[in-house]
Amino acid sequence: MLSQDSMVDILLVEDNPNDAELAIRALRKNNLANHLEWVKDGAAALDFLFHRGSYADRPQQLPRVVLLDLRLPKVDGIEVLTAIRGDPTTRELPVVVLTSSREEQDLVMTYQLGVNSFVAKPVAFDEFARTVASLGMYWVLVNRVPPEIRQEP
Amino acid sequence: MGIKAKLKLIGLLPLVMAVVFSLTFYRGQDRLDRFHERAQLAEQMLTELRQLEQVSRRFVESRVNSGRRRGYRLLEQLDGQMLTLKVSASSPSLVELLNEMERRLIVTRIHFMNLDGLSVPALRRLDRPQGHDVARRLFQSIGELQPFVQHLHSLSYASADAYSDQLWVTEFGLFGGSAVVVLLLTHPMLKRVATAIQALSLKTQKVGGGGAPEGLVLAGEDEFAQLASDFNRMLQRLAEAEQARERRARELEEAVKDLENFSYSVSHDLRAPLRAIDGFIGILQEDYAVSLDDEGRRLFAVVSDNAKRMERLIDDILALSRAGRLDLDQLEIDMTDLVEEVWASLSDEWSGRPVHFACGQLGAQRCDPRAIRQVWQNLLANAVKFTRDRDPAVIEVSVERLPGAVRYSVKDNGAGFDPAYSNKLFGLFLRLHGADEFEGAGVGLAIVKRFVEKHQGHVEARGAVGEGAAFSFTLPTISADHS
Repeated sequence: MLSQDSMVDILLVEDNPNDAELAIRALRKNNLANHLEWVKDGAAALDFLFHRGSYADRPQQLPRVVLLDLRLPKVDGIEVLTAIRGDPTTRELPVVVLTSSREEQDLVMTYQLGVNSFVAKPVAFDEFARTVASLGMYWVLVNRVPPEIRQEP
Repeated sequence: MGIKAKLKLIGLLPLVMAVVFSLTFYRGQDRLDRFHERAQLAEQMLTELRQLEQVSRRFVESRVNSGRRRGYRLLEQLDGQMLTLKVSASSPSLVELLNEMERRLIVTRIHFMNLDGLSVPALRRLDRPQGHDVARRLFQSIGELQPFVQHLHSLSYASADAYSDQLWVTEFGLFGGSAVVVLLLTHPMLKRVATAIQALSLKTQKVGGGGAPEGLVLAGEDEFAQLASDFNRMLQRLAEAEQARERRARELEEAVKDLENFSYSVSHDLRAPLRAIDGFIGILQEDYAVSLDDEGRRLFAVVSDNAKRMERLIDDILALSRAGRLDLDQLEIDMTDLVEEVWASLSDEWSGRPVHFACGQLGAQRCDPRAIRQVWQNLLANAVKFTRDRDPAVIEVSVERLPGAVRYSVKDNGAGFDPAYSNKLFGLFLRLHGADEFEGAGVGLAIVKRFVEKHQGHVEARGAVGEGAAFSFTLPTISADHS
């Protein structure tokens, strides 16, 4: 049996600590931040998902959703998404791109790579908070995933 | 020697040949005439000798005075002809023959004179036997002279024939010789011209086909060598120009890439601090609202507003940058549908306001739907914005067919503008109204202008302060037919 505490619902991949803080605050307000892991770059995200490096001892459970920024140090969001979709264990993992970019090229590219959702971060605080909260609500509470991704507790 | 000089020489050659031909021919003919003349003289002499013989016979028989005179006249004529022949004679064998003839002619004359002397009427009976003897000798000398004249006659004819043949051979030789000379002169030149032109056309083809330009080699010092060196210089300049063009294209490409990276950075990185500003102000307002008074809250609201305005500015700049980079499609679009659709999408701005919107039948037009949609969006949004204090606001969309183009107009009864500044309307970040009157970054019309000009159309604005504005743009119909 997996311990309740070590389970992660949301993997937030965000290099900007301010953005991360705002997002985590919005999720916490909706009681969604209890099982949240925040990593600051693409390499750490892949380590987490594939149990490498400092995450080698992490339980096998995958998160319910990955909130992925595109502009990331070391390994950028597009590369992370490519790696996730390229590995059979993570191929079906829900990935939501949450980015400042409103460029069409990013939208087209991430959809081609099989992203589940593409959300542009609003600048206005209330809008941002609402967007992130509803994302968390949907992917953690509403959406259901196949059992091979995640054994429901 | 240059090709031009050679060509001149070859052109001159026929002239020289013609002169040589005619000179040879003229002189040959002259000589031929002399041969014929000599033959004729010989023939005349033969006739005269025969007449002399007849005259002498009759004279011996009749001893009439007239016969005597006639004989002397014939002898005179023969002497004269002999003289003419001697004057024109040049070859030694001929001179010898003529001398012999002259000697015999003198003998003949002496015999005739003897006969004449014995024929005095007083001596008629006395010297008859002697007269017969003299007459016999006269006839003998005439008879002896005749073969010589005959020989001269046939000799002259034979010479004339032989010379005529020789003349033809000479002329033919001259003709053949000059033909050979012309051929010898022209052949290397023609060969040169042919090789040069072939080399030149080959190289030109290569260069024209986009191949690497290589040097053209034509040795020598004539015009073709000059042409080759000019050609090579031209190739070199072409290669230099091509290099410069490629370098510039590369630079331009890099600049465009830089610009794209820049706008991507703007899009992504400039928003993050703004979000932080607005976000943390938001947190402050939420978490510390109780410890703030009204002024404190107002100040936070100002910061928050400015962050949001900055975001709109970023969005507008990015939209303009995208407008410049967009590759246009050409699709057949129903303009009326498009305008109605855009108008409906602006309903947040005009709903609840007294607005009278009229859109005629605009017809179909080939254009890029995204770009032209943005054009209508910006023009209609402006019309809605600047009629905000009108009751009712009137916004009309119309179309006008021009030769080779179609003009669309959006007319409103809003705030209008001072026509003196109409040239600034379409400039980037240029605004004719204060920020507290009408919001906006001054990018909308710049985008309109950029999109319309990318379609090879142009934009125009008419208006007056307080009397509304009319913005129009044209789209070409001819270029659309080409694509």
